[in-house]
Amino acid sequence: MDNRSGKIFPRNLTARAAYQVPGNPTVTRLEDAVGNCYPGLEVDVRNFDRRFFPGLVFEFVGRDDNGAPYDEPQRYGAWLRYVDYLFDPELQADNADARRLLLDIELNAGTLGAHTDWYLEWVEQGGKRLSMRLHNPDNPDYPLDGLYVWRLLRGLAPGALKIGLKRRGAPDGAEVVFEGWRRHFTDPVTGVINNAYLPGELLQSLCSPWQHDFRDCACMYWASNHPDAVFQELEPGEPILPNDQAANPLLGNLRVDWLRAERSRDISAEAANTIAKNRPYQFDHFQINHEWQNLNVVLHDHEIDSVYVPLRERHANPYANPAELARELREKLGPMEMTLALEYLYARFSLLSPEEAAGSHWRTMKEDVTFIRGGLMIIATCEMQHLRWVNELLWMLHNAGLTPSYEPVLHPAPQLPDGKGGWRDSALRRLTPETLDAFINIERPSGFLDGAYSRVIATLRSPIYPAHAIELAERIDSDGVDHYSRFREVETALKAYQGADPALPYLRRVEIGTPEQAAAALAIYQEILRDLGQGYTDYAHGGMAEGAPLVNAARLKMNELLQVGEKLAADGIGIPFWPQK
Amino acid sequence: MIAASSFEASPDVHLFDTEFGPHALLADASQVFALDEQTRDELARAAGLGPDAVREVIGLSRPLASAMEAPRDPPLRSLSLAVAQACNLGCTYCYAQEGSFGGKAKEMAWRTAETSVRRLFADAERGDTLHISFLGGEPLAARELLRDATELAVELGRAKGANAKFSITTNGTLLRSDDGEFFERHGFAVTVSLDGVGAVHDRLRPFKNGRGSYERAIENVLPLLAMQRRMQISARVTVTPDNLDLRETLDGFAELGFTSVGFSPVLRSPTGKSELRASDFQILLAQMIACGREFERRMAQRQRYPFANMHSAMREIHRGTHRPYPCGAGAGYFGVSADGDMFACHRFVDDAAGAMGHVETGVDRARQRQWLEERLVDRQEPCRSCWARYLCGGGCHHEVIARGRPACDFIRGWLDYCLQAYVRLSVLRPDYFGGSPDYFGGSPAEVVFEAPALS
Repeated sequence: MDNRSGKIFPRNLTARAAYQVPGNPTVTRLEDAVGNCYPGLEVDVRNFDRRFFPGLVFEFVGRDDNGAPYDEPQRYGAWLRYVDYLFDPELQADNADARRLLLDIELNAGTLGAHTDWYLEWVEQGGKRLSMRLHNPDNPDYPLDGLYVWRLLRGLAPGALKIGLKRRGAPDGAEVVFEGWRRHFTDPVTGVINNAYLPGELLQSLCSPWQHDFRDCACMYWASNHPDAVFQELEPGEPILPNDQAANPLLGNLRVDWLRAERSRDISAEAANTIAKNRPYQFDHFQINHEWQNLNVVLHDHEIDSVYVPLRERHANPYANPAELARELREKLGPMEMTLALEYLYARFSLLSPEEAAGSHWRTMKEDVTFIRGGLMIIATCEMQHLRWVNELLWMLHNAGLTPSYEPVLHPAPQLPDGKGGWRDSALRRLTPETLDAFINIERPSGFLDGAYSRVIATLRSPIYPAHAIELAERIDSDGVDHYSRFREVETALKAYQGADPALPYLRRVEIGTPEQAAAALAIYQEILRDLGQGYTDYAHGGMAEGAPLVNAARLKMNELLQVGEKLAADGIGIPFWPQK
Repeated sequence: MIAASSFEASPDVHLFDTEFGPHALLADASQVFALDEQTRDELARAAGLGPDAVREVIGLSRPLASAMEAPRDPPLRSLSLAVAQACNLGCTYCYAQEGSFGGKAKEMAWRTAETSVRRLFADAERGDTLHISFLGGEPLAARELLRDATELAVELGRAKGANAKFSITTNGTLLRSDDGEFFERHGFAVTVSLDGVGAVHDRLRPFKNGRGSYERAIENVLPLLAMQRRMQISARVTVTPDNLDLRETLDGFAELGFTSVGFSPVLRSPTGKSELRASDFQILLAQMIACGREFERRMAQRQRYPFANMHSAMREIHRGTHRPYPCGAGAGYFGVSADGDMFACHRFVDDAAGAMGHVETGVDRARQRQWLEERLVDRQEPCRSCWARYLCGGGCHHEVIARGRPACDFIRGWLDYCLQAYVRLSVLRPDYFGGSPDYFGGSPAEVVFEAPALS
């Protein structure tokens, strides 16, 4: 009774425990697994091609990786490792082809065995000959890397094949040519692997996922999917912000290399910005075999070593209905994001450029202003992004039929929270310590913005809202803490200039200009607003194709605005983004 | 009507159809498999050829459950104490014959209760869970003794590092709010016998003077429903020919706020009065299925429905229950009479057929071995040839010994429906079987504890 064709599904727990799947699971098949070559997880298919031609065993010699210099070309290619005519079962077969090839190889065995520099020179199949050299007028006689040779041999079909071998040490010597066939690696009917392969031969050079591969895996396999830079574990009692980041800005912003070899907390250094720069300070091969278990689990960007404390739940009152939510987004949150972006941008213009700071007698000022300008730019860009998301939330509400209309929100707010429970007038100001204080206050966790977005998130949890809306709100919300931390870093950097005489040496003498003085900049600014407004309106009505060019144009003009603004600021003129009293 | 498929001939496999295709229940370890048509036909052909042939079609090489043998001298795990062999009600069908088990009304002496509790904990080891159930008669007629025995058990449990769990079955008429506080403190499973809403209950469960007891019982129970956190209160409906409208009863109690309502049919009463007859079982089955359908409908809408029989059937089928006996009676569980005599369960109190020793001297092991050998479901007829035997266990010993097995078709019909419902729910609400404790009304497995099938 054959039930193998039947579909049987075990439903309850005992059935699941007892059911035996007939045959080997599909994941054991060679073609199933990811990355079964170079190296390989269950098998390395390069090992098949070592014996592509009966009676001969090759080794593919190449560089360590494609980026390495091509400095020993004479060693690269398919190197004849040994001649295996006595044990290769295909040559013992009882047919004319096998007998002829066996004889041929026997006759040449002495020649081939006498030297160790025989390489595959060419292969010929179906009337086409493939050379194992790169023919280039500038570089004649340029052997291909073993990896490329292997790839060419992979392309051969099973069946008749002619090959040529040559000595690298005697380029003028005679070629040895064999006429034979490309081996069937597996039996076409049964799938059984050819008997020429010795036990273990196909398993050579496999991955070691728990060890070296944390270091070097280049596939899309899990061992390669580890974090690069992470925050260190927080010690018990460390003051933290609401997102569980350390309150101390230096610690809160210090990202360390996950693979770092030096793991004591006291001397942790920030991870560099490229893998290559971090490489010398990471666990090396000889270390990681012993140390892999010291690599930490990472949750929410933080290493967890001993005890994991889950994030705290935040509670907020949802807005009563979509109309109330939309009003909050339109009248408060959107305009505030826009004001913040402009205030931060203005403050950035007020800082000396790195070139200007280079002439200062303050030795670190050039680095300081570079760092602060970079930080302000990131935060200002972020606020612009938030403005876009607020608009997106609004048009999602509209498209879901929850609000009657959508109008772009692209105007600044006259007032901002002062972070102390009150309000202050929006103001374009230089980055003085007082301005920085105001920035820190408004971004302070658990402040007004934070609270407002928590309410937005709580509202969007209700199933009446579009499913993805909550993700936008959560991203805005989590950025807030990051901004606070960055401003605290700026504060730390500026401490060096306390009590300087003259005061505030890192600032330009910028004052808010008249609309006439800043006419060029304001014209670009108005164009940006116009393009964004039209682009968002198109998006809101499903016109992605129509809106995208406009939004892209606005982005390009933002860069333009940056350059014009810089020039004006160097001349002491600040852009009046809104009318001044 | 009783489902035709419940007459399946094979003792090894039961085939049933669902909206999600053909399925099979294997008697061995109650395994449930979804099949395609071809496999279903092969299985139907193999059904009469023995368990090996059935397994081969599914592709199983050996039985999952081990061979059924009587356990030897199993440890004592549960006792029920008939703390008061007297009752203030005069129910028509009572197996205890108005509480006294056919003898003189009597109350358990403290020495007997104390000896019983100490015997239960005598061989307890750290981590063991031991159950005490208070029954009668009406156990609240012996309130002080009940509380003292509970506290002694808590104390002994603490000293030994063992868990003490408690349950009580009461008619509700003597319940006081301080009882509620006591039960809550000790996490009691409280089963209140309620046979219907209003007049239906009154007809079946009158006071001895003939007056109805519903109003008093409900008045006492409702405040306890609001108090339950650790304790679990369930209504247990004894089904007789006079209260066969299960849907109405179930919905009535659900409306009152009960989170667990269970039905148990009267198969046998000492006088023969109120026993269900063959024609009644057909109505009972239709009613049970109607309640089950409602349960499915509510589950699909993610609402609760306090149908305890269905909850436990779904749980048992999901885990693949394979029971050699219907309950723990005479194995790990015994009923203790007011005089301290031990019986196979609370129903056998003062019945020589179930005598098992005395709490002073312990379990009569020779009698117990004989009992366990004889009562094994594989030795019962017609159970040996029934596909449902390891889900059912052979039926209540007390009823079977007295009246035989008149309800087998009802049980198979109910299980056949439950299997289909299980398939539907496992497709539509897989999360229901995913281990969330919420679905069983807050305290899953302990709703009615495992050993005695209280009725």
